Amino acid sequence: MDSAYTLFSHSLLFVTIYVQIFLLVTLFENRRTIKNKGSLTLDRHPTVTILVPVFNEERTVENTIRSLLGLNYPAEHLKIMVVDDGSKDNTWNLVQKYKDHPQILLHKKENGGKYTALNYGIEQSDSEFIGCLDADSFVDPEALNHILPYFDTPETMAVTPTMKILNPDNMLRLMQNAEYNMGTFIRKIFGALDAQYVTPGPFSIFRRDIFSKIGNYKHAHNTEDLEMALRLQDHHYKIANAHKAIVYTVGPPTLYKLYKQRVRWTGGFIQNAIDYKKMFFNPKYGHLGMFVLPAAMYTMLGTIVFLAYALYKTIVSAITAISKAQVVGWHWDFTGFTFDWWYYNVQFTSLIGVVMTLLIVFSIWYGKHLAGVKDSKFLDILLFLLLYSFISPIWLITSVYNTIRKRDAAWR
Amino acid sequence: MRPPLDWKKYLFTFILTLIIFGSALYINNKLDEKRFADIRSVQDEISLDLLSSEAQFDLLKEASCKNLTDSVLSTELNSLATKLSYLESNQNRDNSELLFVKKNYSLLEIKDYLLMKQINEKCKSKPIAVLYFYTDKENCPDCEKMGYVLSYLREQYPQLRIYSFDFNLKLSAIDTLKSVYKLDDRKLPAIVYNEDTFYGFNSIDQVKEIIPELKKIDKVNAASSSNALLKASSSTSTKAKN
Repeated sequence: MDSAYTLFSHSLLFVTIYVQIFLLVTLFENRRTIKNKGSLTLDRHPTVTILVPVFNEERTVENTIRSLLGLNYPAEHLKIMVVDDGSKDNTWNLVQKYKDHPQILLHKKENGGKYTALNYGIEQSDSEFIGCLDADSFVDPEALNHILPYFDTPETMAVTPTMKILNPDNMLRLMQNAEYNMGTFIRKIFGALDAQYVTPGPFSIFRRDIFSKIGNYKHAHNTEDLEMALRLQDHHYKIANAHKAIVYTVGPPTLYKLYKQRVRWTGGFIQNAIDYKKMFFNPKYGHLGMFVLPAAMYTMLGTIVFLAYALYKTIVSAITAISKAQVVGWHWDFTGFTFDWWYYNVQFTSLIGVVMTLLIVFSIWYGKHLAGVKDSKFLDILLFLLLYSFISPIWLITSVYNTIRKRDAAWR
Repeated sequence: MRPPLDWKKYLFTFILTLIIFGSALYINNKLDEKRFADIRSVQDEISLDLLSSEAQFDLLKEASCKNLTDSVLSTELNSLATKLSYLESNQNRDNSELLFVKKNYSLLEIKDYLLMKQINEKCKSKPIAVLYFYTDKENCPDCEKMGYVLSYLREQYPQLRIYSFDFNLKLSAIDTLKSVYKLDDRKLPAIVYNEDTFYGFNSIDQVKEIIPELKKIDKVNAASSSNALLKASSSTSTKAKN
């Protein structure tokens, strides 16, 4: 039993290290291309429409529109199309102040979900490029100038930006900040591997004609941005990543809101992965099929297994402590405590744990470096290391449970 | 279409991972080896102690008991016991190295026990020694609890010598002990004190009933601490008078 368990846990650890090393090897291979910052001077300025799908966003919609108007891009080539998906609050009235703005187009439709609002906008637009910005996100003025050069490669059909948490002002948001920085690193590497499986809602830009080739957005278990990326990959189109194009998004401020968001994301990933299961371990889909999708699924299930193990260990040691206390009472005797190396539990798993932690810290640090963050603060990394592995299994377990029960997580 | 997959990269990553994994395993094994080497050196020390005590005992057959009782019995057995129980809880119980050091330890305990009995006979002294038989093969929650009680008592009463034996350890000397005391493996844990066997879990108070000497030590300790208190209070009152 013991040796079967050891074999199982060692295999899990081996795969975990393998995944991290694979990312590092890819970084090393592509270090020159990744360093290339991309030219800010475009040969021409193609027409671009940014869709802003809104549903009850009265608090943030104006700021989102203002940030888009602040983009450093010729006004005659940039349109901002607000699509109100049947808001019941004051959103529609608020945006009326822009109705005569030459760059802004306002549309209202019956409520049908975010993907219907996007499809409505796609149908209404005739520009060469089309993108989307959720009403809880804001763009850096140079974002578009960083993204468009990547379309010089004709096979590139979509370009993803780098996302950052806007004003990380509490512990939960600082943790998300580190997580997003790690995401920046991972997205860049996945881009280099031609294996991105999400075109994030905030400011991913597409060639307009791709929608007539592969179809519009689908409901896709409330994660239409994930399904769209998988569909592009299914047709073997390229998705690039512009790491210098920064988009700020409002991170959920409370654990409950974060939980709801992540249940939707994770559940969406699992259910879309099931829909596209033909890609798993299929060399036809390159690194996406052979590495990225299996690794992403493994990371989720592995986290649950590791949490179950940690819980089991904690319960066992609690039971031991209680049964000991029952026979000899509670004794907090530190007089006999010595720092004898002999008793220091340097076990194989703790050594691998140190290697893993170093690799994670490196990916967060490198993500910061890519996104041009100059601070040397480690608080967010520390919070991420301390909190994330305990919090993330909560939504992972719920999502797996929901998938099993074939239930879509509520959009909000 | 995508370019053909670069399998070399998968292989290269596999080799790198293998190197990291192998290094961690190597460090882990080296540390374990060092732990066992440390145990073996303590065991060597104990057997040297025992040998020297036996020689001392033979040499001083005619000598006074005072010289003997103070110095001969090894003091290292307790620290070795703590280290062994750590290894028992952190290593695979069928680890051959662990079984070897456990057997060695059991033999040292038996030798120490016999020497102690010889000294007792000669000097008519009565050290407090308990034989404790446990098992870690089957699920024996009482053995675990008994272990906690005895470890606690050993910490509280340094005079108490506990000789613990894994009932299922395949060692002929332990088998002999088992037959000498006619031990029944179905009733474990078992304590042998003054040739009497007590089966099952015994609480701290029950052990003190079995070993009345522990109660006497309690009384002496209580008396000396109250004396110390009295002295302290009288010296403060004298100072106050002056």
